[in-house]
Amino acid sequence: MQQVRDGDLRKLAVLFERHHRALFQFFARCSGGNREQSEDLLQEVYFRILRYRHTYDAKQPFTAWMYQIARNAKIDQLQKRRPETHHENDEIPSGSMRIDDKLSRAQELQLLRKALDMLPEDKREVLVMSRYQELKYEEIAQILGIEVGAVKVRVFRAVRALGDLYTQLAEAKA
Amino acid sequence: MNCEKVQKLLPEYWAETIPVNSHREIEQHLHQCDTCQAEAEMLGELWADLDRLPTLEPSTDVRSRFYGMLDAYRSGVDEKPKRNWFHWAIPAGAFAMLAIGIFVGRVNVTPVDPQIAQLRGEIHGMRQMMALSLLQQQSPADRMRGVSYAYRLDKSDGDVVTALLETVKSDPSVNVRLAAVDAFRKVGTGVAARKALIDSLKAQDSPLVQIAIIELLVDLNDRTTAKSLQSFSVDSAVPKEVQESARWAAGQLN
Repeated sequence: MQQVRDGDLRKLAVLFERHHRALFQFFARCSGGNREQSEDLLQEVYFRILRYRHTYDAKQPFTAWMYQIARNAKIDQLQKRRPETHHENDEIPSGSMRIDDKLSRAQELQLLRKALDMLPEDKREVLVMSRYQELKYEEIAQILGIEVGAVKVRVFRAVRALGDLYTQLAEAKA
Repeated sequence: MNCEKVQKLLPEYWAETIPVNSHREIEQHLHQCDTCQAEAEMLGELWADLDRLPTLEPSTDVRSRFYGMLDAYRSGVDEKPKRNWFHWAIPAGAFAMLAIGIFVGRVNVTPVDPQIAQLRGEIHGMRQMMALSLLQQQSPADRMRGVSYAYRLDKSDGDVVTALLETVKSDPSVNVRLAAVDAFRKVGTGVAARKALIDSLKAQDSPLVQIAIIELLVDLNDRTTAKSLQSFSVDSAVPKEVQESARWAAGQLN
């Protein structure tokens, strides 16, 4: 990133190839699987990295800086439109279970995904960062501008809220 | 360890990233506390199940969009005048060229080759046409290329300025709007365009674009916009960071 900041803009391609998949999945998981919105946001992040490259501090980890930009882009997008749930891939991975179990398992996973989509934005975001993005608590703390201890508390509360939603959905279905 | 401390560490316990000592202490607590035990078990299953949710992959289109944007941005940057420590050399060089020109002109007056002039005109017309055409395209990457063509124009052109203004006002992509704002630094603005930019400030839904327009107005050093910026800075409907930027800009221009 230092090279990009210093004017070698072609090096952004290296960062794109390294991070774009994880970044896309961050947006997709936070937006309930909205591909179009996630791809637009992905593009937005790399544009903002170019435009604000002079603000990059080499002492700060690039990943944390990139996710700060990603969050800001997401917040701007949310102000424009509410997130929609678009699940392109409804196929649930199959295992070695019997068909009855498999259906039941598939239903459970669908409920879980629905519960995840229903989580308030701040809880879903911290859960996605912690569970899927392979970010350390220290990095999440830096991205959110809070203490590491507060991140741990938020992650647990997000899981608990997910559990509450999941239970409610399961009971409604029963 | 009490319940609260254990709960805080449960995600690391499930992820198996917790130090051995803490792991042991959590297990001891869970053995003694039925409430925590039940919650840890139920939520731990959900935590594990999150891994089984399907993963969406980006389409192949994202790569071409990215490289299109990078190329367009790089060509835009290449066209920008460089600002560095030898900035003073530009006016000095211009003065020297002028002096040489006057001297040569007095000695030998040669008219500009009409073919070269015609060629320049054709290139200018082609760039203008490309800018106008691309700015109307559906794809944000194409519109971005349109903005970069506008950057390459030698002088401001009424149609291009109008198209850029329209882009700043209503393009759905924040990226393209930001690039269009930047392009005004190259193509220049007349009084009417500056007024239109000020008018577009309120209609913008992106604070980033608002701040970019404000910075542009400061760079253009148009003092007549100071009053509008001042009133914009106290508008309660405007985001705080934009208000601050407008206040700073009004101060610069006053």
